[in-house]
Amino acid sequence: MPRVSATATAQLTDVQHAGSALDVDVLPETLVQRAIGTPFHQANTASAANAPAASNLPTQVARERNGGRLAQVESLPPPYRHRAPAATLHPVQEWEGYVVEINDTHFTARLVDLSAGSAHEEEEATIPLTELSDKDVGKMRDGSIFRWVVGYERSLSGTKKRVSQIVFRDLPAITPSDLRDGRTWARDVVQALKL
Amino acid sequence: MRIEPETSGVSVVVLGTFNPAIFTPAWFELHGVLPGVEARAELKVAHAQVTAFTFDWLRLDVVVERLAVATTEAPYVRLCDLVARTFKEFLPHTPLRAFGINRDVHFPVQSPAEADRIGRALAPVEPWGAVGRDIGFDGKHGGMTSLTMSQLCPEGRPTGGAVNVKVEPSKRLSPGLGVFVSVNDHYALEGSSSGTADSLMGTLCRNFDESLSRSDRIIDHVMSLASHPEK
Repeated sequence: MPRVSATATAQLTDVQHAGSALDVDVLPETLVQRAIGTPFHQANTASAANAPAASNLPTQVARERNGGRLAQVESLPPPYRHRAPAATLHPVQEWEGYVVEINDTHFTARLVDLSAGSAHEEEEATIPLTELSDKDVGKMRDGSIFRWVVGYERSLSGTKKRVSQIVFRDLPAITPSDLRDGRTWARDVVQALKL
Repeated sequence: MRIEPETSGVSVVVLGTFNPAIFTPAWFELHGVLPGVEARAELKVAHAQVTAFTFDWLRLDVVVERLAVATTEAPYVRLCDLVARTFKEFLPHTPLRAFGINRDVHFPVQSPAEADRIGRALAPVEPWGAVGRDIGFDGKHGGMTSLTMSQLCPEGRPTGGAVNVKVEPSKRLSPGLGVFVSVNDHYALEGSSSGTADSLMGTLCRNFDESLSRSDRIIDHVMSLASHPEK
């Protein structure tokens, strides 16, 4: 029975036994039990005999949690089924880049080769806009930071192909503590250089 | 990696105290953290004690004491950005105490003997005496079924930090023809106390790429044992 328990280690425990670390149907047994009022092994079984139990779950939730209301339940776990592995994209080469120039058909970017362990941009590339999604083209600006991955994608059916994917990063906004840290760093540099 | 994995993925697991009911696709859409998620997410459950959904490249599970995001699709840094934005921008006062950057790989081997070479290199049968002698080298008479090696407090991290590496026969590939390696890179706040999200997320962002590089080097070393067992 797949299960994940809260442990002191920030890890998906028993990852293999759940089929994959990335399987979606793995929920903590006790929490699901508490949440839906049905033993996990019954609620997560695909057999026809257990299907009626799953369909009764809203009533049980209502009885146990909300006094007849279902306000907190937007959806219930589907009956357990063995999930096929998700599609995977395994990176062979990865760069981080930032945009330095955009024209009608291409954009130019400076790249850091992460696969080679580089820490500074050493390459420049001109990339067709057709490599990007419409959404990314719309929000791309000078200075936008992205990851460019070239790797092998395996589909759910097992087909393997070499793909290139560019994803613009959604970095967190700078916080006051980031600014404080930056000022401290700058002060330390100034002092170290005796400026 | 010297052997192309059959499947691989990355997850980020954050420990603390969460309110699972808010981590719905609608919430991520509202704050612009995952554009399009409300329309395309597959919601499994949204409840006061557990929320789970999948969306394109992402799987998210939240319970009261743990938030986990995972993907099998590179670039994996999207997980880092998602978690950092969530807690730095929108939930900065969430009490967090630890996080793990986890790398999992299932890779194929040519034969059960090759898988067994890895097992024997990591867990030699000789010290097991008569029991060890009865374990054949054909993958049909047993061998190492699971081994975890932990490095505690690596690189001067606070107490509680660890790198945990688990090696097992893969249960996703054909019996005897696959190896599973999982690396859990665990970062904790000093004294197991909860701290602000801001400081812990800073640690996540600073260490994410290097952590994955280190994990890949560990996995690559395990792969190397298939053909060159260490004596």
